[in-house]
Amino acid sequence: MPTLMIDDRKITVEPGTTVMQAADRLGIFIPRFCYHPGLSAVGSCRMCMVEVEKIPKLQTACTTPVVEGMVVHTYTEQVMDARRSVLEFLLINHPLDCPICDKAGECYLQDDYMEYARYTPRYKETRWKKRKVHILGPTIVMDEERCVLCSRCVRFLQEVTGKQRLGIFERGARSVLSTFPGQTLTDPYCGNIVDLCPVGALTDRTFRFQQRVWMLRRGESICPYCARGCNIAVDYNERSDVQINDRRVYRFRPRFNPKVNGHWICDRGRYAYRFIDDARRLREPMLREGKRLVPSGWERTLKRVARRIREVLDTFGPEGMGLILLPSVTIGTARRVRKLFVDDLGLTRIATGPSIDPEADEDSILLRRDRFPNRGGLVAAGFPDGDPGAVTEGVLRGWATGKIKLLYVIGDDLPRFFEETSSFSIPSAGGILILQRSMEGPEDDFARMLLPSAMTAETAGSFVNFEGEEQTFSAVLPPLEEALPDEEILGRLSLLLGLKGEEACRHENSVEEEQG
Amino acid sequence: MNFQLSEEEVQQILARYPHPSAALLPMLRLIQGRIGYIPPGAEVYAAETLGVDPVRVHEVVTFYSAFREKPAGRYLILVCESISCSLSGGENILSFLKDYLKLDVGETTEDRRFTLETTECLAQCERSPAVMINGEIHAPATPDEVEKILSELA
Amino acid sequence: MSIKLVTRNFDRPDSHTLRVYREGGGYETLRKVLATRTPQEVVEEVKRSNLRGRGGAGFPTGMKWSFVPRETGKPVYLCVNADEGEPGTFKDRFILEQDPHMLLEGIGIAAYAIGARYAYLYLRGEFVEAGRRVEDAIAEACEAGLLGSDLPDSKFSLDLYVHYGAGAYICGEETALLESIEGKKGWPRVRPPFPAVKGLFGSPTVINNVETLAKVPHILEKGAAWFSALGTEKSGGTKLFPVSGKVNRPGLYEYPLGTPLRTIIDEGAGGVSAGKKIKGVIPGGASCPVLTADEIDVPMDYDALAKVGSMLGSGAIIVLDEETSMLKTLLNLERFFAHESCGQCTPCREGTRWIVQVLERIAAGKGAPEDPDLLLDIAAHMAGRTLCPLGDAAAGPVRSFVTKFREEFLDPLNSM
Repeated sequence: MPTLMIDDRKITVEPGTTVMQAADRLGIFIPRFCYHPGLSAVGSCRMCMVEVEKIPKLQTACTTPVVEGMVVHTYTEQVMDARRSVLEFLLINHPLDCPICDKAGECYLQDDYMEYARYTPRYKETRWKKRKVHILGPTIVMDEERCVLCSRCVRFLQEVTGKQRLGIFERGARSVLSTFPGQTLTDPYCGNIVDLCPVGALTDRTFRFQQRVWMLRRGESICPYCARGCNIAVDYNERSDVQINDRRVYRFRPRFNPKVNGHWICDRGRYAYRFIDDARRLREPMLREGKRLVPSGWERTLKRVARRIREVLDTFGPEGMGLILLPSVTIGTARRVRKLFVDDLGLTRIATGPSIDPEADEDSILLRRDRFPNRGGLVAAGFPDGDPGAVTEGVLRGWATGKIKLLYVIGDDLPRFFEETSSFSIPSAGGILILQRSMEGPEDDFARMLLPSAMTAETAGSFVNFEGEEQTFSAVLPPLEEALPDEEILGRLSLLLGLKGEEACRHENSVEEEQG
Repeated sequence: MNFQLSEEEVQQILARYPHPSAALLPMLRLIQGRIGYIPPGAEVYAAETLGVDPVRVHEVVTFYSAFREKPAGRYLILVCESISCSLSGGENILSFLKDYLKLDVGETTEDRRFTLETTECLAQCERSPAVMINGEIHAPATPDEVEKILSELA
Repeated sequence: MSIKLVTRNFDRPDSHTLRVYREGGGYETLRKVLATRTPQEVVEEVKRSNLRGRGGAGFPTGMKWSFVPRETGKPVYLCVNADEGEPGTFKDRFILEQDPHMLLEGIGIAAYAIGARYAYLYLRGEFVEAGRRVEDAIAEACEAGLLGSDLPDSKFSLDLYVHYGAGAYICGEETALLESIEGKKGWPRVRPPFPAVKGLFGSPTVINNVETLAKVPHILEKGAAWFSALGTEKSGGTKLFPVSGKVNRPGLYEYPLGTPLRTIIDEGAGGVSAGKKIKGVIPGGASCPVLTADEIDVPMDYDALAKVGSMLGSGAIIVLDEETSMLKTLLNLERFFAHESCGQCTPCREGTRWIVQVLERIAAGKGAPEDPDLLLDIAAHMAGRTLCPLGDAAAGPVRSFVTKFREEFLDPLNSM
């Protein structure tokens, strides 16, 4: 194991480690454009050059393997001169349009210029004019004049997705990044190239001109859109005076987790940020009055729910009620459901869904066919794993034949749940459908009660992913309008059912969190 | 225009490399030899035949200056611009050709007979200045000789 | 005194044919080497000969060969760099056209020494005539059982393929050349890994210049000591010097390394044309820093030229006379580098274009007093800071021309 010195600090690393990796480990930041820990190192931007004793020329930290006894300096006059000059070269053709650039505030070029350069421009010649708004695909737009040709995006697609969908064409100063002529970029992971772009060349068409990044706050959550459970950052702005169309959340970005998602997320999860403030969110509890669902407030609605449950149980016994618990809920919610409905009320007809979408994409990168984030968590909470399909069949048949008088559904993405069986409806014999979820759906037409739940980013809890990795998260935002986290809805409901005090629920909850 | 190669031609170039993708340059060379340039359809054809992404083919076509994305005239005239030819009056040849063909560098005559371009060093420095017409070197070239050569071409 | 090794057959009619080459004893050395020497002995012999790469970098050839790991289970490749594109250089073209079999014999010996079963000859796409000659020569040699598979001598078989370039100077850089053979654009690779360990198709690879390999049969024929004695202490043998520009007899001359530049210009190339005086000489092709008239007594070898701040490069001598505009000459050179920069790394991609723009502005009569220093500064920020040597190649001429002929970069009227 070689030991080296970087800026007078000693570190021992595995053989094959680069100077950049060793410096990163020490928390010594070496500026970079082309280097990214998730991609191959190509040493092309030349920003990370450092001084290595006994080597006359500066070396690129990202491509220089450490050797025993190496002495590296990252902050000498020669290094500063190199950084300054690389920035001067990169800024030759740059339009210097930070005030209108979406990347401003998180742009390496901007940051590094302020940190290392601040020279008086010497370039007095004619700049190249290149394409300013080059639409690369449905979600990505390119500004060729801002591109520093670091090839991170090219390498991401090539190395991570295995498909070379972007290339750098021509050569020399005429080099330009693009797709194959006439092709658009539709790769299911291409949103990552916007995060990867160290400058304002690639921007997200859904994020463009929505917010200045320094107005955004960053929260951490878990993506709930497949069984992987990618770690995400939720960038949001709660100040209503600067929101656009009352939108609080402006983007999801990946958070590095080597055990789950590495550096990336898929576009399906990425663009799900839009659901949080979507017009189709359920905003308040509603009760059916005739043909209409009428906002009724939590107390009235939950009292009605409790009364209906009692009536059905009293008349038909536990067999008269069915429950569908989708694996989109947290472990805490699943435990609460188990306590309330199984242990206390004695329900047997509980389904957790087949719901692995056979049509959906699954790949060796991140995407899982199982679209739910917490199937493992449901098992952990004591729900049967085995062949849930049969259980689901039973519950649905009971509902369709009128044996189940009351069906309580908890969790989102119900349509997919029924895809393989039949379309959902109220049986001719009649029945009470209670939906507890966060988004509107076609089944709302049949529902007697709608209980708006918080979405994952608005909830604290934990999920167990398909590989058994349990991940705990806290709420980034308060729930939208009157929506509540599932656990709280269930806590209130159990209180109304006279089963357990809310205090006790809260206490149990906090114990679980501490343990998690 | 049919840019597709025969099975035999493809096999012949594939046989030279352990990986099919390595046969890209010779394949593009064959295609250009046949139809004079490499249209987008030929890039896709080459990509599919060799199992690479079309993006990579387009990178190669645009990177190497000998590959053309647009057809040249029947005669492609390359005038060497490099230092030794320049020292021996290469610019005179170029300006003569510009006047004579009424073309700027990179242009093709309306009858599509001549395309005038410049090139980097053709390694003919001992007999500079050099002109290359459809692969044939003419060196040392003088305006008179070049005029004579062009007038004799069909 | 000029010595003819590589050029010895050039004057003979049909020198490119197998018949003529064999008449002069051709392929006898290869035969003897295969019969009597181990690969290791060949490598050692070449090491002792002090043969250094004739492509430009001057790396000791035997040492390069000795870096190839044996028994990796992967094939070893030999790549012949015939992508001669350095302005002013035409030596390899001569070998390819005039005596391709000498090259093939050298390739055979080299392949035997490093254990290569396959070789690629990377030929400039523009070399139409050379291509014909080499392909014919390979066909002849294969037919005669000298190259190819299933040769009579079971110790040795070699398949040699010609791979044509397509107009990119950068592919003369050895890792860009490998990329190009692999069917990619010529972006140089980052090192390490070095090609000797991980080169073509991920296998151990040696890349040698045409002239270097053409020297090899002579070393094995007459011995390392004889060859080494022809040159200087650290640089063995003769060198081909292509001479062009303002001389009476532009052409290709072969001299021992260490021969004074002045001798080659005067004795070989017949002195400066039209009785003019020398203003400067580029001693080794477009990328080598220019020498002034006072500096041309320098011995032409790797170390002596480095000592005066230039390089032997490809050995291509370009003579500039008193009437030559240094501004125009540098602009010509830098346009070449800007055109040929691959665009991968920042300083070269941006610096070469910037330099051309500044020079063009000066040439247009809009120069500013600070321009010479600006040019020097841009060049300083490219030199030693790029991924491959092209940045140095572009910077060297700027630094030498602007330093040595500064006044010409100030007043355009004087220099045009």
